[in-house]
Amino acid sequence: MNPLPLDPGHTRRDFLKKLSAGSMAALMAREPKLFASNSELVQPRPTADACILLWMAGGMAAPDNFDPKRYLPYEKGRPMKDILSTFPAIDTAVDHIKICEGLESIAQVMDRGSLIRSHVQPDLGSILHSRHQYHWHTGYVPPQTVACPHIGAWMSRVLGPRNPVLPAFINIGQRLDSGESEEIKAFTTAGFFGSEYGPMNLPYPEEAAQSVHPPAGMTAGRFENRHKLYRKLVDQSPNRDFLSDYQRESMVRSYENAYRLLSSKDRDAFDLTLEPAESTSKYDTSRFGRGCLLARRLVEAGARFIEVTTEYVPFLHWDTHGNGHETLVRMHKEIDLPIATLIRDLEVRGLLDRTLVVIATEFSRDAMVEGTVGSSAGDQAAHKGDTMDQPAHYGLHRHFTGGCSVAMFGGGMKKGYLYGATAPERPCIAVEKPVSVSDLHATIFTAMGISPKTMFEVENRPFYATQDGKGVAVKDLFA
Amino acid sequence: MTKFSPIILALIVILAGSQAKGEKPMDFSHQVAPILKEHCSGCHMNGKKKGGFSLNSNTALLTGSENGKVLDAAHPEKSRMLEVLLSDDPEVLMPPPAKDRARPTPAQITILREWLLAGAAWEEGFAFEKPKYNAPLKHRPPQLPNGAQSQGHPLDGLLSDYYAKHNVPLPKPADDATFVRRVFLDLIGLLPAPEELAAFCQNTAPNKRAQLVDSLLARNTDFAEHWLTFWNDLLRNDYAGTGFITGGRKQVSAWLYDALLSNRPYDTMVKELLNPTPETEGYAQGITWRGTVSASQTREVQFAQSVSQSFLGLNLKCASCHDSFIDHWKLTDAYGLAAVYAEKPIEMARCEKLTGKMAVPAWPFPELGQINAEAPRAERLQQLAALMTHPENGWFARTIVNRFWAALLGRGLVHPVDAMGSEPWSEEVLDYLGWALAQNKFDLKQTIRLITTSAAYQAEVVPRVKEDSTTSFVFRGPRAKRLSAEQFVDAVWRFTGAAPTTWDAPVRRNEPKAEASGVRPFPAEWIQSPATATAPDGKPASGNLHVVGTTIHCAAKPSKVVGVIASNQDVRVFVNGTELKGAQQVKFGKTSELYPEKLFQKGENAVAIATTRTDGKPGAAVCLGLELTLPDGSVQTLGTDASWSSTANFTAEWLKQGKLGPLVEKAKWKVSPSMEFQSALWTTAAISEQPPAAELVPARLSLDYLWARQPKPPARAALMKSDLLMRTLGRPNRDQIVTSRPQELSTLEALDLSAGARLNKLLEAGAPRLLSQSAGEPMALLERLYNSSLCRPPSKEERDAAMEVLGTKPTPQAVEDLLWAILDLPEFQLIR
Repeated sequence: MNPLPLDPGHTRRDFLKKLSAGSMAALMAREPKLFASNSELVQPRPTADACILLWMAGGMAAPDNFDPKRYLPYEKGRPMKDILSTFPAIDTAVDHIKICEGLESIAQVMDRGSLIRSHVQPDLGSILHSRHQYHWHTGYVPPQTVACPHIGAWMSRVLGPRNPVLPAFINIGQRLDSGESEEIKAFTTAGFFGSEYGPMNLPYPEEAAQSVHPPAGMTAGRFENRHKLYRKLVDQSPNRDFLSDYQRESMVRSYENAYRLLSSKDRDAFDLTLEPAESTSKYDTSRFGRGCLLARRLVEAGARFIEVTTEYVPFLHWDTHGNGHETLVRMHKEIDLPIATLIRDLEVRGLLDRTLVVIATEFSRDAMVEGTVGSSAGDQAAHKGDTMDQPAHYGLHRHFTGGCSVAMFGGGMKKGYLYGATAPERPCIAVEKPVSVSDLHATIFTAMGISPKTMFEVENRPFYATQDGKGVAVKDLFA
Repeated sequence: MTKFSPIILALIVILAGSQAKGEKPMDFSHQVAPILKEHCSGCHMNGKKKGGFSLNSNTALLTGSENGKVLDAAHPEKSRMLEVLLSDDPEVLMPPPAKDRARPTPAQITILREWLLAGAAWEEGFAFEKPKYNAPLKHRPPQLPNGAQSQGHPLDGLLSDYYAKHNVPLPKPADDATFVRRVFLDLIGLLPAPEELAAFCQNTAPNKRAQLVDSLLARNTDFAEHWLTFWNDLLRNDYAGTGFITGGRKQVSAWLYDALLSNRPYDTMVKELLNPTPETEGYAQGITWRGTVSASQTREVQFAQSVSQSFLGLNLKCASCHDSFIDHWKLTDAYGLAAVYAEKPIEMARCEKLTGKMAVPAWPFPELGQINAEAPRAERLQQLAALMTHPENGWFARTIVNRFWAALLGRGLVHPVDAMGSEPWSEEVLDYLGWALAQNKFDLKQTIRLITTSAAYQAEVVPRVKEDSTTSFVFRGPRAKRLSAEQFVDAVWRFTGAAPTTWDAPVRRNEPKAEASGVRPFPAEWIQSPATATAPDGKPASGNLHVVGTTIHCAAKPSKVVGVIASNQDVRVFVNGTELKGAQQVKFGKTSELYPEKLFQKGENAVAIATTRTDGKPGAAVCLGLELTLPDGSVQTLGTDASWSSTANFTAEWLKQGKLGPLVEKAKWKVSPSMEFQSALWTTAAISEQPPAAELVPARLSLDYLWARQPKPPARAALMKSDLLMRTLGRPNRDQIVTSRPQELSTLEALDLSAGARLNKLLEAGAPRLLSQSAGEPMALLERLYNSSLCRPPSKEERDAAMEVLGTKPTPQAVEDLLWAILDLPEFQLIR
């Protein structure tokens, strides 16, 4: 049992006793059960209690961010094949690590974490961002015969909430009604675990407070009275005895839990207006930046797993099919200071040691190679010419799955550590210690105290935290 | 435990073995079986078959492992089982060496060795685990208890024996109000109106419950629009979802709606899905994501998984990757079914690795006949459809009746519903229902009638206990069910009058009958662009589009425009350069309705239809009729005819440039849209002599035309794409087949219902309506709300609590609060 570092009064057992109807439902037939052999499974000792995934949606090009290669500026008529990086390298707080210009603030905190440069994705024969994102978020390539849980749902299912009042899995920044939204919804879910373990979706960080407050325009007094009326009507129903205690009680309990969050002090964590202006200004670059601030506040309040995304919208943000360089100048401004501030704030509050912050993306980008070497994936860059004829051609416009960077801060990771490498020349594939999605997940799960072999039964079959239980944590990354 | 090196161990074994020689024969039950159980059961018993090897019974032992036999009858000393027991290679040794597990003692090894050398005799009939239930394939004609058929309800007759046998008291009948609420929600998905409730309760006819069932089953549209949810889940059909974005998925909605509306026999439905037409092929095609997929998720293997799950309640998902460890289905079973559907021969893959073996088209129940593996695909599919719906295929019928029983009584006769190989709690009831379905020519409404007219269905619900063990279940009466997302949303829409007036499902609702009055002749003929464009070498030019178009002058901007278009190919429609999309064009397979009124303007208007194919083949034959109503009430019609212009020389590039669109030449379109059509590019359209689709004769289109013009009933939730509120309430992503919905309300769901804007907005919109319905009179409002939501008046205590909030002059806010509290009551959210 993991003691709660922030609120030692609560334990998971307390949580079960006090709170969750869904958890009580674990014994229901539909609920997946832990396989018997899980009892023999030794769960690793966690090095982190909370996890923040900073998701660079749309394919963050490693050579323009965390893995600088030979840089050449824009020049009309320059051959495309000469371009590896469109940003020059800069120094970081760690002597042997260089990253790209534009990430100066992150550069200053590189000594707080590890950088993986050899993350690789399978080439799925065709690039559909949401499909690679599904793979990254669940560990399984769609389609699948069962609805796969998001890694946040695994945390929620296996570890439960850290603070029983806060949902264990909070998803910040992704709207579910934009392009490819059906595909995004397919993995933004607890899948067969059931909705109790699913994400609380907060697409607009500045409106997060609204999700845990009475509906707009309703006073606290009215909300309280409404709930009182509900309780009375539940108690007064002449038919209450016909409904089984279990079914009725579980439903009422869910409302009580919701009401508890809606009327608890903890809900203040969702309210960005309570943050001092000076602190807010460092995060206030974009929805993503404010999402980082919200994540920090929620971790302080005891959240378990939070994803903050730059948001996947086809052809926007990191999804640069054209005009990549100019777009990335903007993206760097969006993410640089908020991420660095998040790391520093967690550190100042003494939370970084037990909070794992992961910066990841579905794949990298390259100026020439679509998919990976020899891939059948169709080229999706807007400009197909051999030379750069205008500034919009300057950028990494093809989806590259052969080598990608992931940064991991805090949560038991080594500090100022570099793992793996990509080739210095095209194709810039991972040439040293490749890390698959399974192994990366195994690393994250292990840090959180979940064995990559943890399994649940669904439709009488075992389903593992990492594909077939085969993910292996990268031990070298742990301090 | 003392550790032996392998050599010493082997020595001990040999010594011990030599001592044992010549003694009396081995006692299997007392000497051998306990050792097998102690050391082998973890991996090779109780349904576990590691390496494909089970030690559960003598047959299993003789069958061997996935690598072949483990015994060698002629040379017991060479048997694989002996080899692995005594091996000094830790990779081979069995049981595998492990820190936390004791090895068999030398004495135990001696016994096993002797037993194996002596021929591995097994005690006759002995098995470590009782043989699993063997579900019958064929129908078993029912043996009704004496008099049950003539005197009472056959299911209750069978159940009275069941109750007696299990010492269960007869379930108590539910009262009228409870029954009415239940049967309305179960059969048509809607709550009864207070008037309907009162009428039923006052009715004194002895058979009034059966009458009500019949009258609900006769409400064809309401019935279809409720059961659509069940079938969409079962056939993973939806109006949006993964796969649609890249054309990897196709709906069967129009077909399904029509099948439900006309109560098409179940065997016919399944035949149409298994041997598909363009209308139904979406089911068999499954979901294809762009790019490569795992071997167990190819289109063909998805077909095997879907067909076996939907129609046979079988899970072939395990067996589509490797021989199943949990039941007897094998890789060849899954691939056999896949190969029936496959266009080309397919190679079997085991756990993603190709086996070199080709799949042989086959289906899993050869007792009823087999697919001719040599036959062409179309024939194979026909054979599969025939075998599936074979009159003697009891399994097929029992699968669907069990799903219906579960939907209506809260838990299946077989549970879970996709484990049809397991034992039902009453074979008699399941057999009877399956047999009766086949007898009734697969009339599903008859099945629903049979179930819902039984005393078992009409009884009070029994409490559900937390433990839901599959083995020890005893039926004591129906269970309460949670309202589906669709039922909940429909109810809220009814209370608040907030149902949308358009819907996402491409289905025709409230369709007029052929004899309906007001059918006007459809003002159009089938036309086509006359020729294919030719390239200089005489071959059809590729890259060209076909366009037909015309202009119409309107004296004023029309206030309403509706129309119908039919074509034999995919076409795009442009009005004044803007393409009709979304709600402006509702597609129904071969025909679409058009609602382009926003795009028309005073003066000259241009209408153009483009065939988007670019392969040089002839353009589409199209037939379009539009009715334009002007503000003064006058009506203009526009239809395709010989006066239209056509061209086969329009290029895809021009389309991109917006030649039919507003981007380029916008000004020109506005000044004189006809200019484009008068250029040398255009010639006169040709009248098609034969309508390209026989069913799309003008009479049919006239009906469609009438229908497009008539007002539409408010939408039902099942016809809408899933929204966040329905998602919250448990409507699934239909990426997989879904055969049961969650019965619990989770905290996040409760949070969304409590604080979420979506429900609250509906309540805000609906409160004034509720107030006006009861003329602001609080007691009337309260009574009406309770009657229409819970089918009963409020008790005194409830009245007091509610009146405290409502006061003498209720505000809309107070009404919202009361409605919110009622909607969240377990009594509301459960069907009891």
